[in-house]
Amino acid sequence: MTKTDSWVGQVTASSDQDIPSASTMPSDFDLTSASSESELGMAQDAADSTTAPLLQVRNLETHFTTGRGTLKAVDNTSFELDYGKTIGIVGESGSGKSVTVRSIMRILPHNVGHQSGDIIFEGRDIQNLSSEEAKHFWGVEMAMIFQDPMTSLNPVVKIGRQITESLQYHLNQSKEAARQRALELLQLVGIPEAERRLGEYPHQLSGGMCQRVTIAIALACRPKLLIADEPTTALDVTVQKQILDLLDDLQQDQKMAMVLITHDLGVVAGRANEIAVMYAGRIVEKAPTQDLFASMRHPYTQALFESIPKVEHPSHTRLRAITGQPPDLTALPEGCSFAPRCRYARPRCLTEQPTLDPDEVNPLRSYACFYPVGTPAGEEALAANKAEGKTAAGVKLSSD
Amino acid sequence: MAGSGKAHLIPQDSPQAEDIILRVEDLVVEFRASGGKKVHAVSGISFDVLEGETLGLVGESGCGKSTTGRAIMQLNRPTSGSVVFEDADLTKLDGEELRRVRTRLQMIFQDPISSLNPRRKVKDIVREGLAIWQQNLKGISSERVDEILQSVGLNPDMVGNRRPYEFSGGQCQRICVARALVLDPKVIICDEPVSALDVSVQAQILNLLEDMKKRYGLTLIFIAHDLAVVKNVSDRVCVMYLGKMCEIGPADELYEQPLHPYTEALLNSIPHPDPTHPVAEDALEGDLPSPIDPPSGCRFRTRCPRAQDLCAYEEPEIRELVPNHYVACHFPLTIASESLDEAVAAATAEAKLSAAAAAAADPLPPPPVPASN
Ligand SMILES: Nc1ncnc2c1ncn2[C@@H]1O[C@H](COP(=O)(O)OP(=O)(O)OP(=O)(O)O)[C@@H](O)[C@H]1O
Ligand code: SF4
Ligand code: SF4
Ligand SMILES: [Mg+2]
Repeated sequence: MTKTDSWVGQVTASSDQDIPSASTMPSDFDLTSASSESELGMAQDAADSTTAPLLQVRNLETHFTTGRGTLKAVDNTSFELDYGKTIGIVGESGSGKSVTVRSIMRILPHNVGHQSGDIIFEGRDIQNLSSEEAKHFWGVEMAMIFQDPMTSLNPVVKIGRQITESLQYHLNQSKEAARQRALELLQLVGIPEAERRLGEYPHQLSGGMCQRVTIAIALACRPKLLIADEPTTALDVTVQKQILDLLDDLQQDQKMAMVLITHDLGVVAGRANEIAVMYAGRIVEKAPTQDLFASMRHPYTQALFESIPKVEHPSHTRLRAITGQPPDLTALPEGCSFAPRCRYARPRCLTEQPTLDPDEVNPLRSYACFYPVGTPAGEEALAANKAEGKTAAGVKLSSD
Repeated sequence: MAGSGKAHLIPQDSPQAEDIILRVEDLVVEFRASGGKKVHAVSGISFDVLEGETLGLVGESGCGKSTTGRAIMQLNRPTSGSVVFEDADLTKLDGEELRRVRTRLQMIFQDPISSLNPRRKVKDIVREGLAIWQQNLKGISSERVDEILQSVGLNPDMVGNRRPYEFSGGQCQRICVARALVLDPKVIICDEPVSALDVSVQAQILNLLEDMKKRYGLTLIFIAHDLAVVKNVSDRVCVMYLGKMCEIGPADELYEQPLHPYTEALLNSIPHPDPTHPVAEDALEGDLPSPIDPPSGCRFRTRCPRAQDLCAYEEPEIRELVPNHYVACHFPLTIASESLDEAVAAATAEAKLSAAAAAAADPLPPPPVPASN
């Protein structure tokens, strides 16, 4: 296959995955006895009558003040998420995945120096809710689970009370109703002997079971959006599969949208409709999952993928490592942040910062690169670098 | 008879026997837990390591893989069993003798940053070798240190006088590799050497370990939970579960054709970075049982989709089902699900026979299963 073929080939590869969209799901699903009527108004109508996305994040910037200067944890980040869909945010440690969603959830540490951008949920900016509105928003419309379930569970409070508290607070449920619902929730997330577990403390449960409890708590009010920040990274691979399968099922049943954060391209490949790849605080490539894996345009996405050992490959397969390491976010290089490690980098990359722009042929995908992989411009850049034996940033290249 | 068995150890009279550089036999490590209980971390593990090979130890948290590595090093003294390295049983050596052996046997740990002394200069760290060995340093020249730093991809002039906190995780792991190499070891035990690193840096370190292995003729024991990582570096792989060995065999073959239900479950759980790869239907159910009170018989039986009554009262013994490929399971995957019933009947009959034979030969009641409490 020639390079041109693959460039053309990806256009037709665009497709949506088969998770039904919220508006096509039957509306009389009922897993629960709780009412999820939104106190904020016409949420259900909005879902049915418009095609506007559930969540829009526009130009999000979150910078921290640190001893070493301003740290641009998230810069100029935008994405959208439709009802019932999953977007996977992938990136290495420190790339800004958690800060992005913590900015959305408004749970940032105190040393935020600068924060801007729009966070639109069902058509309205949710950054300035009154405290009464906020009470019926966070945890109700939008909930979050974390990597370490212990950070969101209170070690000295029984499991049952941790779930009912949230129900009583957000939904004003009676004690008895909340208890009944807590029981259902534990069963829903696959906790055996739910009745007994209600009376237990978190330390009496395994890590996987604790994560199920935090999922139960997050789902208590049937949120429209679940943000899962590395929900399985602390778990064993067999338990990871259980939790991801569980999230899949619950998502289908409750027509809930999800932001799934992970450093593992494997996790999002099977679970997300769309993937955003972050590097050094920015989204560098965003595409429907199938399109992304069919052809990676951003050199970082491709290099990341190639550096992962694949279980299908024979043992001792030489890995294609990325040279260098991720940049210091308090001293980002001028131009493209990936340039010091990029095989495609040309002089322009050292002075100008590429913006995340849609692909000319397939507008569903976008990337921030002057010389995208598999495009004529990219192939020329790589060929030129190989001929010169190094990239504009001085990374040595062999001519293979 | 309840033991994992040792069919996979190389017989003395085999021509391969002289390639054995390290033999772990019947290794048991128990820790005291509160209430007079015992944590059965490693319960009778045996394996040979052949000169020049990389043996991967893989399994989920709590399976005892790190404990095994540390017990080989005598960092925690085994409760019983032997570790024979260069004709000496390390479990029988005293401190001074161990120190001498340990120059030939080194270890690299998971967290590169905290395993380096932050106040020492890189070149001193490398020169001194692992502090726990209290090595006598006179013999190591600065040329040697420079050479080793160079070979792990660090420029001695640029890094030698700096301290670990100035470096990233990947660079610290390079320093750890250099520190392990400086004493010219034969065997290096790598305990999760890349799991704390960024994916893009992980590949650098894995490639480095492969290069160093070739260059210095090393033998590696590579411990990790990531199945793809283990396959990438290993010649043979040993799968562990809850302190026991499930399966051991050549890496490619074991992944291609797993024989143990647990290995299969592990492989089915791996998320593939490929959306066209179907997500496996079945997930392994349940959680890891407590190593304080592990299940009787086969320790995997509480989660095993193929478990039968026999599995609860008789521990499977390891056997060779395919040349060089050994498995400890009564009903391994070579038996098709359709013929499982017959196999169960046959195995149960055999177990009764051998129990009867044992009872006839031995007037005393059979000893209690040691693993069950
Ligand atoms: N309170 C803070 N003060 C200063 N810097 C911070 C703070 N919180 C996060 N950062 C920095 O912001 C950057 C992005 O961090 P973030 O936690 O979003 O990364 P991540 O992609 O979630 O990484 P990981 O995969 O390790 O979870 C990092 O460089 C991090 O060190
Ligand atoms: S080619 Fe240039 S713009 Fe594109 S990723 Fe590489 S350095 Fe950045
Ligand atoms: S079939 Fe029996 S012996 Fe084999 S793994 Fe399952 S429980 Fe263990
Ligand atoms: Mg994070």
